[in-house]
Amino acid sequence: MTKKDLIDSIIKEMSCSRKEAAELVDTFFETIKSKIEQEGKLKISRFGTFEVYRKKERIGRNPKNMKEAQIEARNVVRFKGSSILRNSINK
Amino acid sequence: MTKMEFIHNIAEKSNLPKKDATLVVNTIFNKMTDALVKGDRIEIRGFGSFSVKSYEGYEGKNPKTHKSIIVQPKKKPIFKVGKDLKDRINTKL
Repeated sequence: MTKKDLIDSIIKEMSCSRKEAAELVDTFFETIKSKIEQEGKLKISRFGTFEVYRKKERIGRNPKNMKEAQIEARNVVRFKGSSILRNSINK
Repeated sequence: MTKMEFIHNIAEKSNLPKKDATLVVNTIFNKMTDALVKGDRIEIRGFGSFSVKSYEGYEGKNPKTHKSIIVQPKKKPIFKVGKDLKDRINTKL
């Protein structure tokens, strides 16, 4: 599934033009991204929680040549599906 | 930060009545939930992708009581961050 499918469903629900629907979907994801970026956490009831989590630097290894390499500290996004989402996936 | 605030932000940014913003937000999350329930992958460029991963069942032990328990096979939604979002959370390290 891609953005196109989401745009299609917005056109159907809102009876708007494709251009308007595309803008709404873009605004939707831009808002999610800025919330995660600014607040470090975004909880959407019934769907799940996005959380920024800091990973420490560590020594990793290139699996191809076994050479050790420093992996710098970085931030990652963790997603935990809500119990409702996890339950419906497992039905 | 919850869904209500999120809907409020969408309403402001898109110049929509709250009722319509709610419909937009619910439509998109419902559509994504349906895709994951069907086992479909979701790919949104710049944001990330969702997929469903299957885990096999195994026999585990309660570390306190040493009782064995059977952990049933399960499926979990997985999110992999996209390039734009990844870059944005790593600007101020």
